[in-house]
Amino acid sequence: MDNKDLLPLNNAVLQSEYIIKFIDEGIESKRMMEHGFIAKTRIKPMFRSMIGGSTAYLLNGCIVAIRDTQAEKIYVGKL
Amino acid sequence: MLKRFSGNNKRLYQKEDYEIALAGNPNVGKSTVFNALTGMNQHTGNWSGKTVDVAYGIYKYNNKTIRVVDLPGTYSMLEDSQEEHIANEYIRNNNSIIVVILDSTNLLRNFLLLIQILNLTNKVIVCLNFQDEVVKKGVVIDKEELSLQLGVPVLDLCAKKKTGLSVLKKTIDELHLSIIKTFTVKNLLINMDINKEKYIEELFDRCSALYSKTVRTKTNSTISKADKLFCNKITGIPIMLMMLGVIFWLTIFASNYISEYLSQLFEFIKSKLIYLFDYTKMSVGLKSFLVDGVYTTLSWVVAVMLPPMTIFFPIFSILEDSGVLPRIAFNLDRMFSRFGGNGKQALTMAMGFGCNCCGVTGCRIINTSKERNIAIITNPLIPCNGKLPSIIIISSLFFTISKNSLVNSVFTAVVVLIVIILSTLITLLISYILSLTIYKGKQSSFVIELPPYRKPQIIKTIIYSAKNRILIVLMRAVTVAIPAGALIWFISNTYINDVSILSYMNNALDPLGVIIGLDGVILLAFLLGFPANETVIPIILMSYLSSNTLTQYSSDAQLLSVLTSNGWTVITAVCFIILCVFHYPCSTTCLTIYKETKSIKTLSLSVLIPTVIGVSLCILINTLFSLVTFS
Repeated sequence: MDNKDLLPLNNAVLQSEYIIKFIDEGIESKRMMEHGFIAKTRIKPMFRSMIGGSTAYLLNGCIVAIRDTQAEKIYVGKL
Repeated sequence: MLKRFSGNNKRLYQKEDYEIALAGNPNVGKSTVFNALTGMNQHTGNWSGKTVDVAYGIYKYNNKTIRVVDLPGTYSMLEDSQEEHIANEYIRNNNSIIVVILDSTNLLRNFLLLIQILNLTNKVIVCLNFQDEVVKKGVVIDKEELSLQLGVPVLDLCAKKKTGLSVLKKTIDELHLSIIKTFTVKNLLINMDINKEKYIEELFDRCSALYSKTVRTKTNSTISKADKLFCNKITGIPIMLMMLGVIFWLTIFASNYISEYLSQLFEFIKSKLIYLFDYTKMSVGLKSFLVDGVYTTLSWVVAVMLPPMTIFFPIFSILEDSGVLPRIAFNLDRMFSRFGGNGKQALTMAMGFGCNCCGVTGCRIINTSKERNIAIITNPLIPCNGKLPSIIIISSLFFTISKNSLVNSVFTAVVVLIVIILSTLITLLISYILSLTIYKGKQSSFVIELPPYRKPQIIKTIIYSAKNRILIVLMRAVTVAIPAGALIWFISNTYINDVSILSYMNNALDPLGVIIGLDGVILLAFLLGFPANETVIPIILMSYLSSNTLTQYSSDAQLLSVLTSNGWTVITAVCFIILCVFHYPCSTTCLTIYKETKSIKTLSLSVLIPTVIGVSLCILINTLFSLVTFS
């Protein structure tokens, strides 16, 4: 996979489906992983928070919200 | 066996035959299963991390008494948080049967915990909860295959409708008697010696494999209409404020009526009590002590404070059940993070409206100690249910705009809402200052699950909350208002040189009271109200009345006339409300803060900060007003 195909999750388009390619090592990953933020998982940005700053994602059948600063360390590719 | 298990490990019942524990992710309905099994009333809510302590109960089956332990909800067993530590310790150190409750609508994530538990013990029964929602969502679970893949029994359950419970009890019994055997399938065992990230990755691979073998799902990936409105830039904030406004308005409007009926009832009982005491030829002093001191304070606290509490709590619980609270945390996270906090602080603040003790305990859902400490220290800045009725009463007496009671109640609701917004803004400001000074440090991550909206169990919640609140308020009334009533009667009826002790104390505090726009009586009431904020207004009234006894609460007009004849103005009311919101937390909250943090520093900050804010704001308002009227 070329790097140009990778996109930080915070730049992903709402309501489009992606697949998580890799997660930046620096990120506080444990809790994110528990919620399913892990390579090879399908993910779909659903909606942004009322005043921005975080986004709700659909993954593994449930909706989980994270801050955009965390999402920028998760790289996704188009399905 | 339970010694190493943190939490309340007191054995409540003497003769249990054996013990089982309920485990699962947060918000999978463990508390509902616990209640259904034991018939107890563990409070439930639709958001993660509600069970912050361990609950115990018992049920009987086949002439055996089985003790049930409700472990706190965790996502994993990696011991990164207090809840995970409690659950992990318990499973490792007890040979109990573990009933793992899974949210059937979200199995993949739930498998993470299940597989970790199966790596610790094989005495496991799996329950698939929310079976009703599974059908609606079009999820098909191959139960037999799942049981085969896991090596343990898998049962259907709908805790809310209490279906599947008898099969669960039977299976628990059979497993206890070794009629059925369980084992952990080799495929699921993971080598624990690898690093944490690798471990989670392996775990996730196992979960994905298990999921693809056992679950067929038709994922609904559309945004619900409720989320479209609630998480929308334009409609979100007005909806949130409207919700709060309606809650306060309902509380204010409905409690007026109940208060009136209750006070009539208490007046009737009082007349009968006096008749009885006269009949038994009781001495005048003792009669006055019992009727004017003890009974009247008690009836005051109950008549005035009970109605708003019994109304506010159920409405708030319904909101909790519906799944709205995590959305509020999600919507407000940016604001909180800019002030050094975390969106989850919105949840603990919301709990603080009910009771600051609950709010402080609830801060356990915040993972970093920096943000958790900030949330704990600022929680007492949110007016709790003991303070809210006083705020509501004084607002409804002094801030009226019309002769129409409906219009006035709406206006009072607006005033209370403004007070709430002010306390929220000050909470944010203090959080910001703390995050820049005492609690400097890197900001943590924010991950929150937004559970599906669930239809709240309205009738059940109302009955449960009303019953529970009435009991709590009555207990508090007995334990706090009675001794307080007795004490106040005593100090107001004991004279030194023809002046009562109460008057001495009031006079001593008066100069300070005047500076902050109040008087000695109000300050003394706040001091004596330390065990329970509910008693502040009754103490004020008792001190004001020349007969040294508390009058029966009969009408707002009577109450207003007592206050105004003792020099209360709109400014006094404003300063009273400010000091009521911003002063040291009650004794129980102080104890809880210390218990949660084991830090005198945190406790001192949470006592000093609100008090300094309250006193400073009152001085400012009073000085400004004096300057305006003087000029």
